[in-house]
Amino acid sequence: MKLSGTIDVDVPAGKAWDFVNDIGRFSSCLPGLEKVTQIDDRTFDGIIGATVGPISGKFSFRSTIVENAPPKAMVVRTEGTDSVTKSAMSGDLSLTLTELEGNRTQMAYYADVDIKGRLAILGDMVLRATATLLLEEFSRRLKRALEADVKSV
Amino acid sequence: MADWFDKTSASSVEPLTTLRELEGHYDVIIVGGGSAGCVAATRLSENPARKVLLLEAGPDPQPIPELVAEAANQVRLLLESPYVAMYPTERNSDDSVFYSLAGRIMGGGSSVNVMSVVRPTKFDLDTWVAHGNPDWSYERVLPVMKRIESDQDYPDDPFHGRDGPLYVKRPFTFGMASSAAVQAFIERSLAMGLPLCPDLNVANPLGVCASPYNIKDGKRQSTVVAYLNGARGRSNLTIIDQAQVVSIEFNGTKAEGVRCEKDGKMRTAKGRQIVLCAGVYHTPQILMLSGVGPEEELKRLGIPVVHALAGVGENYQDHPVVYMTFEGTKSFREEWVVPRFRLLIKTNPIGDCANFHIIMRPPTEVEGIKRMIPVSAHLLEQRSRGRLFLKSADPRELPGVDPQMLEDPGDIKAMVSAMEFIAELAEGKPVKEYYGPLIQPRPAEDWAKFARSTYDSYHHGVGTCKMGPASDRMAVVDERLRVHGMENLRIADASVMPTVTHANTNLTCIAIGERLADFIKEAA
Repeated sequence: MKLSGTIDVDVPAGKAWDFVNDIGRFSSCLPGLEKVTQIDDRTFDGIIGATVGPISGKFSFRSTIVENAPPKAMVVRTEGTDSVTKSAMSGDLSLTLTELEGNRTQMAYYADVDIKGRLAILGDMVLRATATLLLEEFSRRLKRALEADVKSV
Repeated sequence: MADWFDKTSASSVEPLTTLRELEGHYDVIIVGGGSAGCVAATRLSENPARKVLLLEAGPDPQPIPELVAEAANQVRLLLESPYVAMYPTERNSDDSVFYSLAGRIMGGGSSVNVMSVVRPTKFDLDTWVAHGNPDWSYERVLPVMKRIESDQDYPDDPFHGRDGPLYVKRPFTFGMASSAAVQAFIERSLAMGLPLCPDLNVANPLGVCASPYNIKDGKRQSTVVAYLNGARGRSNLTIIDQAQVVSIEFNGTKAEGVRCEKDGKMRTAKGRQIVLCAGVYHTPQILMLSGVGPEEELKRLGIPVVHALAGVGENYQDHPVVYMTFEGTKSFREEWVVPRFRLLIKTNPIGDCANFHIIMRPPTEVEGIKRMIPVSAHLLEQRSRGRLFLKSADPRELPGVDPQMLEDPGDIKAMVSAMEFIAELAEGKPVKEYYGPLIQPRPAEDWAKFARSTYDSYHHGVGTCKMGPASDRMAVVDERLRVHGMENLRIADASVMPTVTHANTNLTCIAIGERLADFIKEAA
């Protein structure tokens, strides 16, 4: 399942980069995040609770920054398992930052997600729309948090 | 010959007679206890003089586990049980993957499906006749449909049966109270010109149709429940589960038995007649592993050719499903499993027959994001043809599926028209109260591209051993289900359907099992 989009924020690229590298602040934008634990500079574990259709469960994951080219680009690899069907999900999220005029930044993301196991049956029927909306909501929260961060400085 | 056969030949092969319950030869060996196989085994063993062996690759749990038996568990059954085989299937447009599914438990698809009981349309059966199968006309098949069912809503209707083994009931009828959301959806559909169709199982259904299900008192009426359980005590019926048939034994072109893997050992069973009921994926697999199939394909895999039959694995068809997801404006919860009604519409159809199921889906709620409310479009025909192919000569490796769905311009045109119909439906009063803006696909998106890259399967794969006359080089069985060019070998499952029905396919599979039994009885 491939998902892509852009988030335009009214902050300079350097500020945006610092924000996405701060795992605590970055992960606080994830809808449904119940717990996050930083393992090291590049790795964090998390648990997301979600009810998708008739299925209600927890999704435990580990995310690792596998490529890092400050302040322009990063690739985050995520692997996890859901608590109901024990299906495995893995995927790479590529994030590219482009500085725009007027101290603004465009953050372009591209995610390629692979689901193995029974959860894949729901595939494009339910999960695609859910993932799209989760990314949309994540983008909205990220933009709000980033811009509030800058204003408060 | 491929490695796998080398490893399992001679020394590790034991005759089935080492298993006490399998001693002796059988009059009929049925390979696969699915929707058709259970029916055929039950009907054929009605004659105590006929010795029948039923082999099923999956388990035959007794009593039936609650996850299977309780209709309300249907989604959990798919997601949590070990009884569903998943076949990774690549969409042709971008190689993205969805999963074709099949039941791997006694009862096959009827033990894991959504329990719809929908007849093939008259147009479907007319089409089968046009493919050279006059014995499958609507008039010839109707009595079989009637004898299968015990229709609770139309027991006295001349087109329905009242005493058959399969319990059929529509959980929702139009006089019944329903939620405001359902009422709004139906009202809007009628305003768009669709007629009310209280019985989906008429010859040519169209409009807002009440959906029939094989659910009795909340319990799934699989072919195990409706048929096989009533025959289990017969001394002339032997049922063996977890026995995967890997090939047919031939003497020249005469089928004489089957080789199967049971408890980790290869065994053989002998029979005067062999019937493959292993389904649209495994019936052609077993044939090809046995040396019956497209000659070049068999040679490529190192399988000795017993009988070249070009159509084995070809002619694959299924129903593609595309979801239109709107922002839900209100929370409501209809029954998750059973859509109580569906719309049958006609948009760019092949023939004079409704070619879409449009199904209202309940909202999906995920904390922290907008509520989603999908409507699904199910195309009930396929102009292009896919195929089923072996990846290797190892019977344990699942065969590959090349779907070719939504590849024909006529099919994609039909799908986009259906999506436009859904968008128009959701925009009108009073249904608009429940449906907000379209989330997916976006209105400005290329809907044809979206459909081709996100469609899923309605899980109605058919056609990989097409029924037709010998003059049709792609036909695998004749209209009495005998494999062309072979003796004592028949096929009875979804694979024989020349074209996919404009309906859920389980009931047609049951009818094929019934007719197989008729044909064998008549030939005796």
